[in-house]
Amino acid sequence: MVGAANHLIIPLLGKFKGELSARYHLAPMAAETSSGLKPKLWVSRLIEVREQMGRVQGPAFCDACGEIARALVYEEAIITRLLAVQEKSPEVIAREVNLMEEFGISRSFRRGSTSTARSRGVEDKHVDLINRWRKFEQARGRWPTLAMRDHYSDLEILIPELVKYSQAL
Amino acid sequence: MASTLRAAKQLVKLWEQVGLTPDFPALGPYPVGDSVGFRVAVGMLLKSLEPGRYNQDYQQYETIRKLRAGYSNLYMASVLGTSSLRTMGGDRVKHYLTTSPTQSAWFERFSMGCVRRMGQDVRQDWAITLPAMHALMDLLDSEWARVGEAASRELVASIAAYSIIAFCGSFRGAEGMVYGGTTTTYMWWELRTI
Repeated sequence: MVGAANHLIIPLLGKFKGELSARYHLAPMAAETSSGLKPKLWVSRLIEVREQMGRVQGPAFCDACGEIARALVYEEAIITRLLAVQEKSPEVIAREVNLMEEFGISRSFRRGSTSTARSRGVEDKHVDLINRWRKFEQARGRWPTLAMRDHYSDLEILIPELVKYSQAL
Repeated sequence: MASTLRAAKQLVKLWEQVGLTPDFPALGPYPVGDSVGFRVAVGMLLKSLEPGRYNQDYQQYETIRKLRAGYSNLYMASVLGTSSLRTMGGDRVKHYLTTSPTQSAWFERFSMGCVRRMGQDVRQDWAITLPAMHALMDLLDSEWARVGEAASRELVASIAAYSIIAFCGSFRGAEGMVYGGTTTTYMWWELRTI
């Protein structure tokens, strides 16, 4: 169980697929997952770097001009490192996996995350809660038919439930 | 085809019973010009013969159909497209009536024929495993400890934070790229307690 202060809030700002305009989304996340992944540590390091660069507002993931970074740049950087992992530890990433073809920043993290969460016993209701944007996508830009309890749920009260997902990873 | 021909013959027979002259719309010749998207169709077929990502001999339908989308966008932005566009419906649900050649009935059938003949080779992205995530983060952690240059540290911190947030938050690429925002949201980077 996550302690009261053992989480962080990831703010998202933008126009998501299926939405009509940019809006804020707040994503609570465990500071450290049960397997030892450390979101809090890396977010803190990124803030440290940004502050040293004098950037205290704007997108967290940005290019040299402060504009939102291109996904392709990050994808190439991540693939380079995954290839190094594959070379060094084929038991972790099998040599048969063609990372250049099969890794995609658009889906690999989400697919891995959802599969891992389910294999580690996260209940479907928590998986659905984290992936709730699917309802917005299916609504094709209109407000989806959410249950009345979703409209009246408050983020701060829901945090313990929302954090269970990342905590289990 | 057979049922269409049978229906036409029946109509002729019925019309003749009451003295009407059989009258069908002309099946040709077509007027000179391209009103149904022949040019775009030719372009798509030529594009399909270029080497693709999955196969050296051809490109996927999902790739070549972007030519149609591109042409349609250009048409919608043109004087002709803008002035001829009409809408039906209310505030929420709208239907757009356009004279774009790529929205013709012929082009719809052409596209459908392409899909049926070419098929669609859909390959899902590899799902990154938990051990692979840990190995990736360990590698980035050692890089972070090693590099001193500001630009390198910025890249390491960015891709590490991006990867771990995308994984722990179950985000897709496009969603992950919009983290952050204004001064207000920047403050939300801080840890909060309840």
